[in-house]
Amino acid sequence: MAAEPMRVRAVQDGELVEVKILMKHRMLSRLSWDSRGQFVLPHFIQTVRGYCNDKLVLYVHFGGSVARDPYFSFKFRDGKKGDRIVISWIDTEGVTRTDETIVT
Amino acid sequence: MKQSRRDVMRISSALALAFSAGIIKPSDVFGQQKSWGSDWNGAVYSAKSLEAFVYAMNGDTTTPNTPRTVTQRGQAPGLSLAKEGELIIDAPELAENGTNVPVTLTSKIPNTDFIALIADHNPNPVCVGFNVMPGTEPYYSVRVKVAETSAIIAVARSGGKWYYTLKDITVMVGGCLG
Repeated sequence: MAAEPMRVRAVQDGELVEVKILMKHRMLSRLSWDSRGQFVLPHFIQTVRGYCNDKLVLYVHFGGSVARDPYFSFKFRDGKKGDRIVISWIDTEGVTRTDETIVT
Repeated sequence: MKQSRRDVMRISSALALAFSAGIIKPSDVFGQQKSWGSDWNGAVYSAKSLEAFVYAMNGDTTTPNTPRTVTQRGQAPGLSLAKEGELIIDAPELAENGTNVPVTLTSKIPNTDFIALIADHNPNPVCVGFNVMPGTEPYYSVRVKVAETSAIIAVARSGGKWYYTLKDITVMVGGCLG
């Protein structure tokens, strides 16, 4: 299953930069069955990392109970306009997706 | 400097030998690489209760992964109820759809280095764990699944101590169908 792109938006607000991330993922939290009676293994994002100009600013682990198509936001200090934000996730099947944006 | 093809071959084979023998690591030569791999800790994120979560985070592997109990809540080493207004969960009291409940976590405890969110009655209670990196604010917003009307628990770690706070959420339609 190919990973779909995520939407990342970073906005400077005073001395803080707020980053909002919307990821596309089905986030199946437990073993289930499809309509043909086949097993569907749990499939969810496990680790999300975010870098601002090569500095680690976001380091998150997801359990199974995060909603489908996860959205979340965080804030960090010492960011300025034009900084490069890189967000990357890896899921239980080893699929990864990396997207980047510029702080506005 | 003039280098013949033979020299290039010689240098590269010597490097390959050094890498494989473990004398020098590739990261020493090519600089620090960003790490993208998963280092997900299964013992922590499959914990069945708040107490089991704290035990697992403390690296205690001998304590069994106990399901939730209300009478023993908070019975884990270094775990205590946060003071009023220090650890804030901002979530709707009435969630129409449990598959998508927006939750905002804010910690005003000094030197918070980890925040987690646990939905008490879910099959997989531990929702998300945020490592608070230096230079970032302990403020996170995330959407989670909540299976049924229950409490959601925020846990924060500061200086090796654990603090938790609870918030009750009423769910109209349960959120663990998928």
